[in-house]
This record gives sequence, structure tokens and C-alpha cells, in this order.
Amino acid sequence: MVGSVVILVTSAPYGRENAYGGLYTAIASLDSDLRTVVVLTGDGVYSALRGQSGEKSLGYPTIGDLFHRIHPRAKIYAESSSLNERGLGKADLIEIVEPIEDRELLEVFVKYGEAIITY
Amino acid sequence: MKSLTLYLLSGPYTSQCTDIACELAQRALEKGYRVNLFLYIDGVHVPKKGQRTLKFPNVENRLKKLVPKGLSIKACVRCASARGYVEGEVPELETDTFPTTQYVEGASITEIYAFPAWIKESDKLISLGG
Amino acid sequence: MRFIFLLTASLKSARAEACLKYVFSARMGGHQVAFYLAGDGVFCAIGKHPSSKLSDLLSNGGEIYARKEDLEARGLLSQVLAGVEIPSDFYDKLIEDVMEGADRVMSF
Repeated sequence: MVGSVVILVTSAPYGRENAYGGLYTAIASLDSDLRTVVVLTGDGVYSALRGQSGEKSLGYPTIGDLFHRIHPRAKIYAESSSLNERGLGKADLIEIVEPIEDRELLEVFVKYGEAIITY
Repeated sequence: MKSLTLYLLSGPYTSQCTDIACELAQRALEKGYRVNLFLYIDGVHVPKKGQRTLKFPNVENRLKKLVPKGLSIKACVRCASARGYVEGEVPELETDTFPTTQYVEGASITEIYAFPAWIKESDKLISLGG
Repeated sequence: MRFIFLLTASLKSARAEACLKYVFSARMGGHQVAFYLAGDGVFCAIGKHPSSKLSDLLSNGGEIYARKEDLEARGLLSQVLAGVEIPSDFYDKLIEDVMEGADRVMSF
């Protein structure tokens, strides 16, 4: 039976519900005692930017706040190649999000990807 | 018996993913696997009653054939409520589902926690759409 | 490990780009890779697409399967890259592989 899940967020926050939905599911997985890892890739890395104000500006839940409900129970990674393509670095991210190289990311899928869900 | 959970994030007709989910469910049921379908984001539109298609295969009819073969269908209450499917405030005690008259028989609305519960019971998961 | 990838998005989409990155990463990491193409994913199976790297995957031991009905609908049957298999029942094969053969399943 499945004991771990990787939540893979590929979509940018706010324009679509996917990023929020993925992080909401991550919280439910953690609450249900599933080992959970969140990986942000492609435009999903924008979910980890500092200084978001979803509530104040759009009336939408601020995506970055969800990370603090996930960490430290689960690791949150932002794919380095996706960050680089977008001119972003560690300093641009919410502090609890860790950049991860491709080779290390493969190991995350191997170790924790009994279920892998793409948002 | 091995279990497969399908996780669908897209609504019917807007993408091919709903048809793909139904095809996967059908094959898996025919092979004797237990199959769960969890609906999230716009996937919660999939089991709506009263679908009348002119040119495209009717998803409602598809589900009506798959449910008697053993397909279990649940939809997330956060997503279903936002889209107007929940018709009461509290879960029905006996089934722990939220009331709706808008879904085909066999489909229910539940807390998101039903999804990780299914994940834990399953051997494999395939996510589609979004 | 045996990785199964299912792609239903077209080749130049963000989803396809992410998928292909992980397909090659898994293969280069020494894992078995089976790449299933359905829906708009079958556009990846076009042999003459300049961005398609699937011939590299095939020459590196990857398996690629494309759904016949989706190829036919899109007028692509005659353009499929050599080495891509077209199963008689794609979903039957995919389910069998997922449930009995796969260690990891990723879909895009």
C-alpha cells in the first residue's frame, strides 16, 4: 500500500487553482500521516516567492502562507533549473523552501514517490 | 485485490482527461482491480446529472455504466461547495458525505481526507488533468 | 526501478517539458522507463518534430507507447517515429504495466 506521496506543483499561483489545490492536498496528506514531499517545478516555483499578498490584493488565500502549515512536517523543494530559467535564486524564496538539483530530485521520486500527483 | 486510485482535476468535455480516466477505470475494473475516482478542482463537475451532449460521448452515461461495475466516486467538498453542489451545511451522519441531489448515483461529496485515505489503501495512483 | 510516465499534453506545453525532463532524468539515472502517450501527448511521437528527443530515449533503451485512436484522430499514424509501439489496446497495456510492473507512476 502507498505510504508516501510527492506533490508536484507545475502551475503558477493565483492565475489558476492548481497550486493552492496541491498545497491543500499536501496538508491533508500530512494530517493523514502520509510521508509527504512538495516539489515546485516550472512555473510552480513562483509559489515560493517572498512577499506575496494574495488575500490583500485579490481576496484569495495567500499561497505562501500554506508553506508554513506544511513545513517542518514535510520538505518543500524548488527545482533549481526552473529557478535559474526564471532568474530566481534562494534569496527570492520563502526561507523554508530549498532549491534542489535534478539529480537529487530523482532521488526524491525514488524515495518518496509511491504516489506522485501533478498539479 | 489490488486497488487503483484515479485523481481527476479537470472537468468533463473541456479536456480529454475525463474520457481517459473513464477508459482507465473500465480497463482496471475488467481486470478485477478495485478502482476509486477522486474528483478535485473542476473534476467535481464530472458526475453532474442531466448532461446532454450533442456530439461528444456523454460522461454521465459512462459513469452510470462504471458505478455498477464497482467504481467508487468521491468529490472534494471544498471544490464541490465552491461550485454549488453542496446543498446542506453538515455531513450526513451515516455516510459522512455532504448532501447533494445533483450527482449521479454512486458519487458522493466528502472531506478532502477521503483522498489520502484512499491513497493509503491503494497500490497505485494516476492523476489526470489540471 | 521501473518508472511509468503518462503524457496527455502536447509537446511544447509546460507539462510536456516537465515530463520529458523527468523521463530522461530517470533513464539517465539507470531506471527502466516506459513512456505512454495519449490524448495530445501523441504529438510527441511525431518523428519529424525538431524538438522531439524521443529517438534518443529509444536508443537509450526506453520504451514508448502511443495510443492508436489518438494518433488516427490527429492524422498522425503515418508520421510516428520508428520504434514507438502502438498497442492494440493502449489503456489495457497501461493498466497492466501500472498495476503489475511499475514502481513509480508520473502523469502530466
